[in-house]
Amino acid sequence: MKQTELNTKQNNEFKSLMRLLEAKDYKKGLKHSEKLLEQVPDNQEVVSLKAIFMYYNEEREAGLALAYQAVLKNLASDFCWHIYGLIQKAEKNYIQAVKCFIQAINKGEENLQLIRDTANLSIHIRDFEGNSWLRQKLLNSKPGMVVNWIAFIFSQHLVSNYASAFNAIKLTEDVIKKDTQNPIKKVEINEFKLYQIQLAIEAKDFQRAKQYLHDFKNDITDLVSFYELEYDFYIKIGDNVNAIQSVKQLLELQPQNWKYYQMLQKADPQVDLSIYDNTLVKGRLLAQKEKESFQNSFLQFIDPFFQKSLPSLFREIKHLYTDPNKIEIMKTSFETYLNKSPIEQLWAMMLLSQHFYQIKDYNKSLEFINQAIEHTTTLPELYLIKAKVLKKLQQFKEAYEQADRARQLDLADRYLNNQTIKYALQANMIVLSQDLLSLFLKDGSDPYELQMIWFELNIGRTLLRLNYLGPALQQFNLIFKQFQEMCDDQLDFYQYSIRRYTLRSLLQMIDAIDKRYDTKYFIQSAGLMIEGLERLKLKVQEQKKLEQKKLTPKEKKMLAKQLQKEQEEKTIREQFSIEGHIFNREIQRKFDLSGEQLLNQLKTSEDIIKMQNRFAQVLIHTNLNNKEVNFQAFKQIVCLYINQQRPLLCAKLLNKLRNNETEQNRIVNHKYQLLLIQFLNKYQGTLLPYIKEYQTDLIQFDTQFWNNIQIKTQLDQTIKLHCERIIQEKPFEENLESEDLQFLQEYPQAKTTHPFYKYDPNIEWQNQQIKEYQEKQQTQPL
Amino acid sequence: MEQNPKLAFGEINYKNLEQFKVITQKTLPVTYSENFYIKILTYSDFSTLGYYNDIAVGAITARIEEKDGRKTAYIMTFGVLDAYRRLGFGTQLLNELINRIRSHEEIRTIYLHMWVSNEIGFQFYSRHGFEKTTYKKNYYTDIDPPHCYILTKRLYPDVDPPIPYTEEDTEKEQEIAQQ
Repeated sequence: MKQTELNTKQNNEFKSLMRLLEAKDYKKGLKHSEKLLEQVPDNQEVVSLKAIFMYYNEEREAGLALAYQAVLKNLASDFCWHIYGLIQKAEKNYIQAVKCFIQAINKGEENLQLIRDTANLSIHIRDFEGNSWLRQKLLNSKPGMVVNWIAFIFSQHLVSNYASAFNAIKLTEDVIKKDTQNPIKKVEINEFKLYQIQLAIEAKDFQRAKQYLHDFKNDITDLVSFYELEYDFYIKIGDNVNAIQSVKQLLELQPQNWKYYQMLQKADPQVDLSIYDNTLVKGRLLAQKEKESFQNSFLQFIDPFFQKSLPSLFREIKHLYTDPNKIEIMKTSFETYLNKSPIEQLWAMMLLSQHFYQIKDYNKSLEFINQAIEHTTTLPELYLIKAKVLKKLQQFKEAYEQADRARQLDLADRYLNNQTIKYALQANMIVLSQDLLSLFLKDGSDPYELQMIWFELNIGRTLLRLNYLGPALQQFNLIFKQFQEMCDDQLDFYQYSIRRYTLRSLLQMIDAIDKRYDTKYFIQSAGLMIEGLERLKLKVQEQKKLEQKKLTPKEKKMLAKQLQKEQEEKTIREQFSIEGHIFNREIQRKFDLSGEQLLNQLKTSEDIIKMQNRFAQVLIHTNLNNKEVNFQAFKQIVCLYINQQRPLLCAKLLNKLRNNETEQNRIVNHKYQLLLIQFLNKYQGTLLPYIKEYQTDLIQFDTQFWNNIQIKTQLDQTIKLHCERIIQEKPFEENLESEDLQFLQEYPQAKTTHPFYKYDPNIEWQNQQIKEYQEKQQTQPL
Repeated sequence: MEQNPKLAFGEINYKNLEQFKVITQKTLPVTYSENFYIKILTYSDFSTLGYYNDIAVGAITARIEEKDGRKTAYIMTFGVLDAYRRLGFGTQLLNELINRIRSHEEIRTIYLHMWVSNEIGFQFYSRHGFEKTTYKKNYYTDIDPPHCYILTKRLYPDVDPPIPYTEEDTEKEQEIAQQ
């Protein structure tokens, strides 16, 4: 008979194994568990222990598999489920982990710590029902603990069970009073009361909300939050008179917050904001004035800025540029300062440069900024403006030089340093940008550990532009991972917030994390990732074609030659160490900066498409109010979804493209819409009823569009050609748009299969820059 | 225009050395070597940038020398950006320097080299008590005429005796040195 039961001695050994697990002594644990298994080879709980020790002894996959086997062989064991869940949690498979833990709890685990952890995990995976059930369980076993009550209230809130939440609040007050050992602090009362008000408003229990607002006022120290809630309440019940009173309180507290003026206008559309005598309001109100009245007010508004010498003025008036009638007036107003004191002259020249930049007259803008620099050679901001203008004029090298001037004028300024990095990358100087970055990093730290997404994104974009796919894709891959980590980092926050009564912050945090992908950085890097993968796919397919073909001796020779060339390139790359030469090998390996590991997972077209889908799935649900950024990313998934024959996603995408049309992307946007409509028109499958409304006469749609368009540039002409080709269903050669095209004019070799540094026409200039930089660094006194 | 715009002073350090460099290049006809600028950092006691509205618009640098057993201050560079002239910034910079030197009583004089054709410069310096003490021929190599004056200010003219006027020729001195 098989022996599975443990005798007393074995039981003691089992317990000591548990202690080893808690003490994280995995080596010893593995050895001891194997010894015990020799006596009881079929005891699955011991097997589970061995599995988790293996998992932590660098045998991740074997440990995971063994733990799974143990569960299958003893489904009734809460212990096996628990262990398997712990491994899943360590793997960050939180959904699986919660399932396992719930099995363990259902099979009789009474470990309160486990129940609490599982409850937090279920908030993390947004399983609010599960959370509610677990919190109830905790409350039942320890009703004397305030924290269990708070957690329970919050869990009821999350499942919109308000009545139960309010009930619990009443009982909680008693528990708090009884707990004399841990008296509630004033800030905690403040938070708890505010939460209750918010809860009542959210539950639309306005009677209660009104009562709370009245009763709690004296307990609340955070008046801003209080009046915001009060305002919200009055607006919801349609009592604008009182809402006005609330928002006036807010304006008293924070007169520089424009949000509150907007809230005031909402409650009182007739309100005259000009009674508020501050710069913020005055600046905003300028938009409503016209002609002479505008001119007078504008001069009055800007004069103090000149007197106090505040170069930030342009930020305050930028919004006025949407009105063409105001532009000339603003220009003349600036000009009046050209003949005044030196400092006023300076600001006038600077503002005029910014003025012409804003109306896209870059040559004029350059003229004024040059004058300003000649006038005051020591002001870094001027050089940054010049760099910005030069970038618009596509003079990337010169733009970098200007930004670097600004940086050198004040070596202590991190902002100037970061700006210079961006311009260096625009001019393809990867190594230099890493060097510059390291000036402001502590020794031993690196941008990947620090999750400097702006840097990763800019490096990735440059690498992609140089068609240097492995490292480029890895940068975007890292960004994607970091967004996930951001979410996982919150795991410890749930219980903390509950203990501290900061439930309102917790709600905000949950909301912010759910919206984490709606950001510029993510949308941009996802778009670039999909584009890079597309290029990789083409390369892989081409290679495959080559492999399948029977080669003539001549072709074989060619192939050998190409391989040799690739080898040479690799050597050069290593010399240049573009893959992060300033970062040590350990960091390079840790973050796979060469992208080698990533490329190993992307060997076939299928792998690549799978990866593209991973990004596309997240991307298509994002929403940011920057149409240009949205469009540039969304256009990358058009062909992806067409090729995969996904009609519903294509229809969704079509909507997205339409919603993100701007003056700037109109023509390119049309091309992609054309592609989508063409696909939808042909679709005949079962989903037809859902997409019927998107089917349109293609030729008519296209002709109508071009009738209303003025073709201005070479690029417009190219796109038009593409559209003709699409309608004729013929392929078109170059799939280039906007910035790509400009870029290729400057870097004609970049898109070939030999995309690297040595082909960059600016290589000499770049080496010169690097040399100068390094010489300067050497002269630095200690 | 403000009546008496006030200058603020700040030290020249490695982080803002470039600002000093830009001011010097803009205001002085002489080209200095990279080494000169690095050296400036070692004379920070008697060197300062002048800030107007947080913008560096001028600078003065000086070092202490020993001449015939007596300590004297030598002004190496001194300049205010063109656009910010005639606002009294030069005076403020010079006074700042003089104040700093006065706290070292063993230093009795301040002197400097001034290009012979710099009329405006001379007016400025004589207003502040500088006198022509030496006429130095062929001092410069890269500007024409290549001559300069040494201007000297006695910090304690009531106590110290006047300085006699002399003439020197740099070229000849060098020839002698070579022989």
